[in-house]
Amino acid sequence: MAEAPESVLVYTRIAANERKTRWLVAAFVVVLMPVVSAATTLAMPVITAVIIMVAARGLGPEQIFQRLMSIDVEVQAAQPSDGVMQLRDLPASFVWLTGGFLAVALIVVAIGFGAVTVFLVWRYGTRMLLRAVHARPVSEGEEPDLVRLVQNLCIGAGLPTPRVYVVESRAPNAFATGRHPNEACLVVTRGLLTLVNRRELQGVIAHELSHIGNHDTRLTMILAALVGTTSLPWKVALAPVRYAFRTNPVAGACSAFFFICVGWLLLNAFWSSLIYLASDELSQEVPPFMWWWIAHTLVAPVYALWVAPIASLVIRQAVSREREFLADADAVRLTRDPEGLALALAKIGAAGGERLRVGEGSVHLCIVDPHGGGSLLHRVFPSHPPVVDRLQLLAKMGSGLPEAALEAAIEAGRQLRQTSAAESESAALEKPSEQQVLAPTEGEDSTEDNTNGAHQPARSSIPLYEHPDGWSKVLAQLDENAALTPVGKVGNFVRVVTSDNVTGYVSASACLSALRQGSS
Amino acid sequence: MSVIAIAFVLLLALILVLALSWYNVLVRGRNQVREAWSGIEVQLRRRASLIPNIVEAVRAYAQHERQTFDEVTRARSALQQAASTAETSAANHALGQALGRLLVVAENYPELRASDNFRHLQQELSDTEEKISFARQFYNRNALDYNNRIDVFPTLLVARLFNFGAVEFFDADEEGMAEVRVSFGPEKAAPERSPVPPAPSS
Repeated sequence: MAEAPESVLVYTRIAANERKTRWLVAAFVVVLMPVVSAATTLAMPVITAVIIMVAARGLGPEQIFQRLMSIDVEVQAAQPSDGVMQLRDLPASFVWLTGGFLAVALIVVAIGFGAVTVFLVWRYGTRMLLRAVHARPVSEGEEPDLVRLVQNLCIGAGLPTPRVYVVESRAPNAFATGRHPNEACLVVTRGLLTLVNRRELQGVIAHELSHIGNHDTRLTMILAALVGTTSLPWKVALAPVRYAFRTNPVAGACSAFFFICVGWLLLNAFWSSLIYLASDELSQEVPPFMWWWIAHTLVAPVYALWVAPIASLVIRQAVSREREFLADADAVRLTRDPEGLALALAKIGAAGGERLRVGEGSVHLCIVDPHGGGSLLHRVFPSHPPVVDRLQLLAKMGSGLPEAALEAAIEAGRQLRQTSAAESESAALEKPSEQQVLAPTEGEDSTEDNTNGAHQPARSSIPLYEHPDGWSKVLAQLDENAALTPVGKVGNFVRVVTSDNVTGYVSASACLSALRQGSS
Repeated sequence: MSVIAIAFVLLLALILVLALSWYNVLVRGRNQVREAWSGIEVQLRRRASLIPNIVEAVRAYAQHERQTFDEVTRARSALQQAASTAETSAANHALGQALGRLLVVAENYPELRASDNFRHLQQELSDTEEKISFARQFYNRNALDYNNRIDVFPTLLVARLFNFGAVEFFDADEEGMAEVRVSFGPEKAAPERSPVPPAPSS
């Protein structure tokens, strides 16, 4: 990875990505268009039954049969002498009846899809998402480094400064959300803040700001809602089967088989009965205009239940991957530092595994996949390109990645994964305090610090700074087990007194196994 | 005959509409460049308003470094008087160097470095330096877009017709930046902070 055979121009990458995204969105629309028609085919038997039931209130089954037969008689009467029925030969009553049912079914399905889409847009919307991950807005006073970094990068990107949120989660990740750059929100996790240094954080924030600037926040929200809508027939149809599976897998498998066969048969019975009504008798030739219906009936369920949801998901993931590459390239254009983002990605990628519970609508806006794969389909068609590919491209944009730095970054991420895995067991006992707000109170150590204590991985000693920032003079290199007395808290730094009576600041994220010992 | 006339009129109208839209594109681009420039000016003003405080803070400990103070003050007023992009760029460069020397002076006074006030000012200054560099980048990107539009075909015609001139880039004062960074740059001054050695960037 250190040797980049050819360098890639950031501008070329950006142009190529935008072209590709346009094609993908067009393909998405093409996949979506027949869905309503296919779903109408599926919904029509149900809707027809409902309409007949409403229209035939107070009529006995025999009377209903009589009425239906009268239509049949009418159709037969319209049969031309040469035997082949054309669409124009159908009696008006029949056309009105089936046409009316079809129109009602179409309207119901369209309204249903529209309502579901609107609901999902709201569901994947900013407010719900922020609430779901317990994001907390932070001010410049609380997280001066982070907020200033965001402000400065926004100047470079020409964007209004988004609101900054922090999630007290150990999963290192970041995402952006919001329909418009003016109301965008940028969310980072505590795990990210403790894992990466300032230079790397700059790359990550620039990546997220690029998502905002490219309107990816809106694009992915809408695409997610549309994918959710296309998979609705599948979910509705399969809800009972899934329920059966959960209670008993064998019974679930049997019921799935039964469900598919019977559902298919019923659907076809409904449509063939229409065909039967329109033709003279079963023995006779099927009217040519009915072939279209037959094909539709056979193909529509397959399309609406399987092809459309999977195809739209696959395309959506492809769009998402393109947008990730684009955001990477845009971030590099902003920071002019491909290595910073690359090292951050290496760290975060190596630290993966921990999950962040963001909604379906924002998975694509995270810096890396927050669900760590998820279902099989999501693993085959991931929302994010593999970190290795992204690193390779970033290496080509700059002067290549130094092997040693990359390895150190990967090692840092790995250490975080190991320690957080070990700590999640112990943290499970003290769960309630995990959401603790960082307040400048004295003697505060507790879980917040414990959980972060592990995040100074490839480092055996802790620097003691003269001032509460990362770049003032280092007074001493403390041993990890040195006894420290916490005196106060300034931003991300803890004011401590060492055993040698030296007062200084240590990074709150760095040290806290030492602090715990000192205060206990 | 009349068909040809109508076609001619339509063609003329089409050209007119296109020319209008190109004109609007250019005006929009020019306004964007101006807006980006005002972004730089905001940050430069911000730094200019920090400088007297920093000078005072250093003066309290190092009265005899008069020459350095004068230099900074002169550079600051030169920057405030600069009119064109090139002048501002040069004055900014000079101010960066003068500030760098001032901060080198400050390094010699441990009590000064320890004072809360100076530390705060230094942080503000480094933050403002970063803001300036990002504002400069934004400006230069807009300037590039605009200059490209002026120089490429169809918009080139309109640009020539209405005298849209190319704008100057705001140059990076690499040496000045480097010098200032040495004393309190976040990456270079604190390698301990990152477990990863900073990669040599181009």
